[in-house]
Amino acid sequence: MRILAAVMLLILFVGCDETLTIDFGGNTNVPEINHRVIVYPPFAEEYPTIRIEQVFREKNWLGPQKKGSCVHASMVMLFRWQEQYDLADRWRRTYSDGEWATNLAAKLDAEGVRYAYTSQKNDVSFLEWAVTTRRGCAVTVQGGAHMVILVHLDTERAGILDNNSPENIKWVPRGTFISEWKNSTSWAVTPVYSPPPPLPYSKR
Amino acid sequence: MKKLIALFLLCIVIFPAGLTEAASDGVITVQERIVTLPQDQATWYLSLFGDTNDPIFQELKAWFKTNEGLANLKKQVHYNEYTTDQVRYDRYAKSMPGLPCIRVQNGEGVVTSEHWKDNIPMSSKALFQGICGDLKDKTSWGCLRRRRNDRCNPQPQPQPEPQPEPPPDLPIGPPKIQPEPEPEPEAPGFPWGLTILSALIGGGVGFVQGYQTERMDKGEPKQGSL
Repeated sequence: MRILAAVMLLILFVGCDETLTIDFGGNTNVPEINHRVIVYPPFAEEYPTIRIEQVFREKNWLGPQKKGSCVHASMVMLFRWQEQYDLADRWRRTYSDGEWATNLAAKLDAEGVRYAYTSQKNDVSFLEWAVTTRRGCAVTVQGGAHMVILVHLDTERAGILDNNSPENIKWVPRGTFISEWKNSTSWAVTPVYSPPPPLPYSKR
Repeated sequence: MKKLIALFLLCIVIFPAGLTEAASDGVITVQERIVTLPQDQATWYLSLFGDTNDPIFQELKAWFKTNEGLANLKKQVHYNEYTTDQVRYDRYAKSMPGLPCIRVQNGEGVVTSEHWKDNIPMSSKALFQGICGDLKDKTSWGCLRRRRNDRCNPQPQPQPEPQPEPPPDLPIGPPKIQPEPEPEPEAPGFPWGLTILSALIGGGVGFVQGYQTERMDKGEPKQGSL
């Protein structure tokens, strides 16, 4: 009699559990049809704007004339950012040593590269254009002795990717950077191809 | 005659010089230098993501060449193709809902249309209409139309007419293969009310009968018996 009462109590309390799993046997997997919920961030999270992947960053190298190849290293990285991988590899193999604006333009022409540049005009709008179109640009610094990549430019600061230490982005106040650039022949150059799409986000 | 010769010589000297100067300024199209910078900050992005060996991905790529609407759309945006074996794909891998995927973003990066995996329409025409619909009414994006799973057999079939789009707030669910079972009628509950009523009536009848019996036993005359 007691056993019967215990069994009846157990039966009564089975339904008190929150989940009651019933195995009917066989394959009961529900086909997954596009039920993944996508939650994009509500803001653009790319910072800097031109976020060149580490594997695409090219460290400066010495050319046959024992000069640094900062201009070409910068161009190689920009080619990769704008997804001109074959051109980037060819450029890396072909060109080295120091460079002037006109000579680089001649080389770009010879290679049939679409590009844009400004030199000795203090044209800040070129920098704005290069960053807002997400292409980035190579810019002169250190009185014109060195070239780096401008990867970000907003109202407060500039992001610099230096091919001498390409692992990190260097951040400087906007005014400081522009002032240095203007005192460095204000040369800026970039390839003009489609930039990669931004990381997705949703304003909803 | 001398004037003519002088003019001829002048032309020989001037023209090549002018050509050289123009070329060095990038005015002549011999150069690739872009003089007028493309103001394409607001240009939208259309990206295809997929596995190189996936035949559906290859089919999708072909649609953007063969379908007039998609090819035209492609010309107006930044168009990119990414396969899973590319380094650049890693940049977007976390945000991939499924492969293959067609993603449209505005110039700021906001996703305005996205079709992926089973959500990809079964014809290029339907895909184009789907993207157009998403761009016209952003609220409807993601609520998609026909799915590849709707194909009942792999044999080539005539393309169906475009289906009317469902309202945006329709939930996405698996295709219905069988009609939904009709809800079973609710089992009638125990008629407590009827039982109580019967008990009350029975009790009342019994009480009255007992009372009458008692009165009869006491010799009281029945009402109306006089």
